[in-house]
Amino acid sequence: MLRFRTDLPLDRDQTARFLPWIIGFMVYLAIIAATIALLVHHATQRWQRDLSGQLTIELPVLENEDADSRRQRVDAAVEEIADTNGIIGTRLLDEAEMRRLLQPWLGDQVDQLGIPLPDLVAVSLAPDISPNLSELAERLQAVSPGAVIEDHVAFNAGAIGFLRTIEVVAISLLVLVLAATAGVVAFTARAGLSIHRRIVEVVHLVGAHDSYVARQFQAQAFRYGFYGAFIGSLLATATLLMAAIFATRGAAPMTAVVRTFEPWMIWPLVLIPLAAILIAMVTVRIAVLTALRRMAY
Amino acid sequence: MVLFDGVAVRYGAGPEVLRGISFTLAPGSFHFLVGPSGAGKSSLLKLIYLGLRPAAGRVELFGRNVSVLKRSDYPAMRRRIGVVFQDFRLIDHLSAIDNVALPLRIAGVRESDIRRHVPELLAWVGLKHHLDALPATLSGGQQQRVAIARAVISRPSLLLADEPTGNVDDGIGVRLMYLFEELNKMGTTVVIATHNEGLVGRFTHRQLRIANGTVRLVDPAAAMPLAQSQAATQPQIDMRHGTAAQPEPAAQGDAGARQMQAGREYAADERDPGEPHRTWEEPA
Ligand SMILES: Nc1ncnc2c1ncn2[C@@H]1O[C@H](COP(=O)(O)OP(=O)(O)O)[C@@H](O)[C@H]1O
Ligand SMILES: [Mg+2]
Repeated sequence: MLRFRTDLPLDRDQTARFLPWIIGFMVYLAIIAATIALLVHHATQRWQRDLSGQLTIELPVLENEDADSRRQRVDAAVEEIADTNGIIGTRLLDEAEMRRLLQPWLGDQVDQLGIPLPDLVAVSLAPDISPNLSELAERLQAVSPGAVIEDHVAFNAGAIGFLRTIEVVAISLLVLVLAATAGVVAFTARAGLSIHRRIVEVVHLVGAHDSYVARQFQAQAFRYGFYGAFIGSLLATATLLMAAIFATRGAAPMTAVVRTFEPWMIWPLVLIPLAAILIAMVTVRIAVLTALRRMAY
Repeated sequence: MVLFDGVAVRYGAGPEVLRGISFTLAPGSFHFLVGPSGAGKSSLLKLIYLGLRPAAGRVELFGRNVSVLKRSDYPAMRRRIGVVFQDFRLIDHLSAIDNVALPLRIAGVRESDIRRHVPELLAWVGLKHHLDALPATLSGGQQQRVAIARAVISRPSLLLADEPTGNVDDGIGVRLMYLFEELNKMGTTVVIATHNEGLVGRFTHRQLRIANGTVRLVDPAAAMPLAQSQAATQPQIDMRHGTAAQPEPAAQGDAGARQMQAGREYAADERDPGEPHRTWEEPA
């Protein structure tokens, strides 16, 4: 399959023999890295979009407080909150909603715990003005002592920073792997050129342009790139499927990220093999042409 | 067609192998390049086929100074030159037919034309039954003929042959010479490098003699019929004088160029493989 008559017996070179496997491995790594980068980037963005523009304010129940004074205290606090520059909406969460929120932390026995649940106020923020939260906290202490402002963005900053780091590492890996592929391919082409130096010389002397020689290397790069892309994308498909299966069953943070998967995220599986073939061919061409130009005649 | 003016050759930092070389090759001429082994014959041919840069002096090829050529100009020049290398330089993994077809494939000749002309030429040099043979399975003489076929397949306007009779006995050597003369009659400028004085002596072609790193022209045809006294006092015409005595007329150069153009169009009907006295007998 895919064999051409060539003047240079490149396929017999020991140095080139492992090229399809090396390219295959590189393509595999690149696809995995790119998919991770995409997935993490997407998850982070969605997370940030969901959480930004919101914060929650917790108003603890005071000791020896009857229902009436509690309602008055909460109403006063909500008014105080709504009266803040940069806050555009407030909503007191009802009991069912609270239970749903607390259930992951406290389990099904929320009711049986017998601890008084605080009142929670969901706050919507203006997109352009950020409220002065410390000033708000001071005012709230006067109305409802012990009030806590939970800034989701600040709370999640650590998690998002971690995801960003993963994304940067994945992208760096992708770039490195593609650069290494180009390097290996260029090195192999140079080796082939010096192995077949005498033939290259003859081909030149009977009137070949440098590009004629380069084309033979490109044909080889295309074939080996094709095999490598095939091997790599096959392995990557298997790995991603397995990862998807394990992740949906696995621990919470992984699950959360993998659940953000969308069909368009298989693009690396299509684009990276094509990119690898293209990179191999272009690199070989450049490597061969520059090497030939350095020859005396 | 070829002009050397004060050309010197050296390899790396070594001594000058050739120096002060000046001569011209007129279009359609036939020259022997004669000298003992190691005299610098191959080096001189290398200068012509753009395989070596002169250390000094000026080399002109087809009217162009080679030192001002760009790398991308070389192929067009080289396609007008056929070279029979001393060591053949056949490509080991290609069959005889693919070796001979190489210059055509490189020049982008249609595959159907290649399949028509290459076997014809190989048959003409007596290798009809060895079209698919790899060089390693051929005798030295057979390889030489494959090399010659490759050199002439694209109808070069200049043919350079380096010791083309070196690997064959004298009988075959003379027959190869007839082949080159035939090409010369069709307009190809020919240069044959050889150390075989016996072979050179059988022909009256002009001789470029290399000795002590420099070259001088000997013209047996001019020396003999003219006054013996002149031949005695000046038996060998110095190259520079030879050039002056036989200026290369511009018109002739133009005609040669046109001829080259025609040759490069690769007209099949020009070649007559049927000439019986030129056809090689397959050695038993
Ligand atoms: N590639 C080379 N590197 C160094 N010296 C060379 C090379 N080729 C030829 N020479 C030297 O140049 C001289 C002429 O060699 P060459 O041109 O091959 O002579 P000839 O073809 O007449 O036998 C010799 O002394 C030889 O050793
Ligand atoms: Mg020699």
